[in-house]
Amino acid sequence: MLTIKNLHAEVEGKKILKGLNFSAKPGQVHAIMGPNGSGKSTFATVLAGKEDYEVTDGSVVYKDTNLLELSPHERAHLGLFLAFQYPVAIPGLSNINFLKTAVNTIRKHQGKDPVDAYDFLAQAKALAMRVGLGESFLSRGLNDEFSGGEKKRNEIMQMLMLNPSLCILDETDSGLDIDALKTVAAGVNAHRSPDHIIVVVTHYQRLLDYIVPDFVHVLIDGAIVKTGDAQLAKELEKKGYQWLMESAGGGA
Amino acid sequence: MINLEWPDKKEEYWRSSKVWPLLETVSWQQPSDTSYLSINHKNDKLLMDHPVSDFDLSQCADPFLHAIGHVSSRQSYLLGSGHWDAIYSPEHSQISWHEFTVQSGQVVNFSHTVKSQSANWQINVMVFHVEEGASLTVESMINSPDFKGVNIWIINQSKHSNFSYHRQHLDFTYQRDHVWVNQNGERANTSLKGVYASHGKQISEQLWTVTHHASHGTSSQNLRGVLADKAHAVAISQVNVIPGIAKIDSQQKLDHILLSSKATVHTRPQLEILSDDVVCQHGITVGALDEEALFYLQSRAIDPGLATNLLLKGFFEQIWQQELSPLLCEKLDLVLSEQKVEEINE
Repeated sequence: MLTIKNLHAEVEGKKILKGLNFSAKPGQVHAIMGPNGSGKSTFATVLAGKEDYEVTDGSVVYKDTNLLELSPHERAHLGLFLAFQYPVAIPGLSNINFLKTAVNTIRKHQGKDPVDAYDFLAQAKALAMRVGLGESFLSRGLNDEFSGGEKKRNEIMQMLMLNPSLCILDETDSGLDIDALKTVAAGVNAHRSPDHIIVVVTHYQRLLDYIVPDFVHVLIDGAIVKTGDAQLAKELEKKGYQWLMESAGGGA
Repeated sequence: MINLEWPDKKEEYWRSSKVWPLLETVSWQQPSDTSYLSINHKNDKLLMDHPVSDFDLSQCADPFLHAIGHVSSRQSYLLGSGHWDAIYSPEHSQISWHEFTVQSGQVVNFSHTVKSQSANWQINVMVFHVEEGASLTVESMINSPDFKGVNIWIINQSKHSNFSYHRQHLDFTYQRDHVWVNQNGERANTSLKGVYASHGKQISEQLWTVTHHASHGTSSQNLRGVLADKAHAVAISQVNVIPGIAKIDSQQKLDHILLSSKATVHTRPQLEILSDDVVCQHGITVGALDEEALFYLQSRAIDPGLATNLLLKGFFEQIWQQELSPLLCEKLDLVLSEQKVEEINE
């Protein structure tokens, strides 16, 4: 269970999240939609624990633990995974070495032995193929000279490999062509399970044609102003956000 | 006793050095039978062990060597194809000179390691003549905590020759690494690359120069360093293209990461291009660890210490393009652990 109450956050003194309330149960898929500047990416990044974002009020509880008291890697140990809108490139650090280190770090936290090297490599190759990345991407530098679409595929491959219980996908659909979108969505759908919470942050409804959410939330000016089912996303596609911004009395 | 007089103290190379005044106070030892350069052909018997002997460098055109004026050892060797291991283990302060010729068409891998328990100053001059069509790779490593000294590499390349220089500085008190490459023949290729991690009060100085005396040559210079604590480094890379030379393709890149606000680096790419029709790319970076990259790794469950370690190894491996030596990895671990202690103390 993820419960967020009255979350306020700011960056360099600028207030972005202004009393955000949100809750999700295992097995659910939530979509967070909203116009530019509404705080969607800040919401995702605050959950992951980036230091630049100062939480000034509110609470975030996941698995009965106050996430805000944990550092980013401890949140990941608890099962949180953020698929970045702009994944970082780290030349020199191979994708496979990075992935193996991450997997073994989580296994160590869970009291398990390091993964068998042969099994790990076989799984990594299979997942790379599944998300449309060739095996060669495993030996390349992490996201180094990857296209935008390849980076997003790599994020999904990491998610499937690390098997997190709370996934935040921050505009994973941005920069994807239709084939990549389908592949990424298939990867996310494969991760749906009664044990997992998936939160999809997006501008557009098109991703939600492939990842059908249980709930759609509209975030405007740092707070969720409307919640509905998948139909709400289709309504937003037709009507835009202006009507909700006017009723919320805010602006993007 | 040798009186060292520096001929041109205005030269910025030397102004950037914190150590030159110290060198002037050194008493250089006379030849001793306890100082050796041992050279072994891989899996083969010892080629030679030699006692040092005097050599006068006062007429040498090079300003640095001219300043030294005196060498206590000089030997010349021919190198055939294969892998050669040279272990330099001086006991006293000394200036040594070793000259090698890689004959035409030969392919030589020359591994040079400084292992010295001595805290005395050393100056070691290595001269290589790489003949037509020959290839020379020099793997150079310093791994002596007390080492204080200067390694000077002078490479004379004939046409169609290749020279690669791979440098790792692991442990030292002070080290200066001069590399002078002269491309004397056409279509010669030069690749210099180095990685090092410094901590404590270590001082590391890299002064690399490639001079293109002939057309159609290529050269690359890539150096990466990580400095912690109060470590200081000088990294200056120079490319010279003399008048009338064409179709030169050169590249210089000097990158440093500072882990401490007290660590300093003086770095600069220099170009002296006296000809048209050349391509000379150059660039430097100095900065802290990439916070975005650190956060990315932490978001994947990797703790900050291990994330930093991975980033720094990646920083090195990007130019090293081969697995880092276990010794260099150990050195990085040491630098990072001591850096953590310093942060806690602060």
